[in-house]
Amino acid sequence: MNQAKRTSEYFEMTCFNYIVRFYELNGYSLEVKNLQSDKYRYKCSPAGIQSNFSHFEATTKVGKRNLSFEIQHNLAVQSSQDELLFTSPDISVIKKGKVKYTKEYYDTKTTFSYVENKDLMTFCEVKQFNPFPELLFNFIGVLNELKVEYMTDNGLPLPSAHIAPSLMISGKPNKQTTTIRKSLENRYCINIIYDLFYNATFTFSKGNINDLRKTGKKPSH
Amino acid sequence: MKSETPIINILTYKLPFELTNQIYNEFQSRLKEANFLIEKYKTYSSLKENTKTVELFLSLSIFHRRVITNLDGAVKFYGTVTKNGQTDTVRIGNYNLTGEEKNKILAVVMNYNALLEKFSIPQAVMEYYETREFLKKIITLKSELENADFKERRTKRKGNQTDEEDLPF
Repeated sequence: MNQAKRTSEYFEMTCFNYIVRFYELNGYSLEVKNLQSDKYRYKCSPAGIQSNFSHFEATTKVGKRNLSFEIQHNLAVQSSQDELLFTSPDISVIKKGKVKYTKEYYDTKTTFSYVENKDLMTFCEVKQFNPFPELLFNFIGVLNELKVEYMTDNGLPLPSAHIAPSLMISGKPNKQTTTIRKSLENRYCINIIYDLFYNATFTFSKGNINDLRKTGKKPSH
Repeated sequence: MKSETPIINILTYKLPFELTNQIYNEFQSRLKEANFLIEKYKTYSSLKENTKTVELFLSLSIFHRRVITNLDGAVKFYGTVTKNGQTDTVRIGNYNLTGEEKNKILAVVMNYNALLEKFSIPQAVMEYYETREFLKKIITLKSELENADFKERRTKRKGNQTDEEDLPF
């Protein structure tokens, strides 16, 4: 088999892996769920019924309660502005067991899998490009659609830690895109992670994981 | 006259068209820029006699970023899945990433890293955003290698002198 055909999928997997790591380092226990014939079936595109694919389940204890979330890939999420609109972030973290199915979305009566906006905890977009201004501002458009409550420097506090909506980019920034990142991260509850191939091991390491912005109040440094 | 196959063609041999296209376009655009900078600016003119080496490092760095790092990511993801689930296979479309397949990919990554080490190529050379940044890294590497070479020759010369001084006649 020619592995080169799958390099873009491998890149998405790399980012997914880092998000799983974020939850692991924040004290969640992780478990692979929904194996298909004993295999982890990776969803490479928004097409397909979600129940036919595998995902990770992250569980944490808050007080006496166990809170469980699903880390899903390529799942359609309802807009927070208009319930008829949907978009599929590359990675989404949702409440456990909240994926819904409908045959009303497409003209063809094909099953459409989605999660309601209230059940979305956070999401990540993955881009295998060098960063450029339009790409960064487009992400804010997605944030406005999916998590409008995080379009402030003080996001809503949640009972358990979640990574703030994040844009993960493989390429290295230049002076301009570094300035844009600084400005956007100051204004909104988000992470923009550049240079993923070289910096991610450092960014998602035990010692540095707390430097990533989480949902909830802005940390005072 | 014997014609040489460009290194970029060797590295992209048998890769799918879409990926080859991306690699080739980035290579051509950066090579053009690198040649312009070397020709026109004093800062980079020390590389005038090393254009072949610049071409080689440039193609290698693009290959590294667009191919090797993704393969490495697949190996890591496989590790996370098998650590947290009762499975030994990740299915991507129609392809099964099994333990055996993962080991093959891992072997490619390890062989690649071993080659870098063998030829004393630091990974830092592969990390750049702008072409001028890449050229500066090559200049630094060149200077380090020349210094190391100079020191080695000087040590050898000193060693020889000592031997001669030690002679009783």
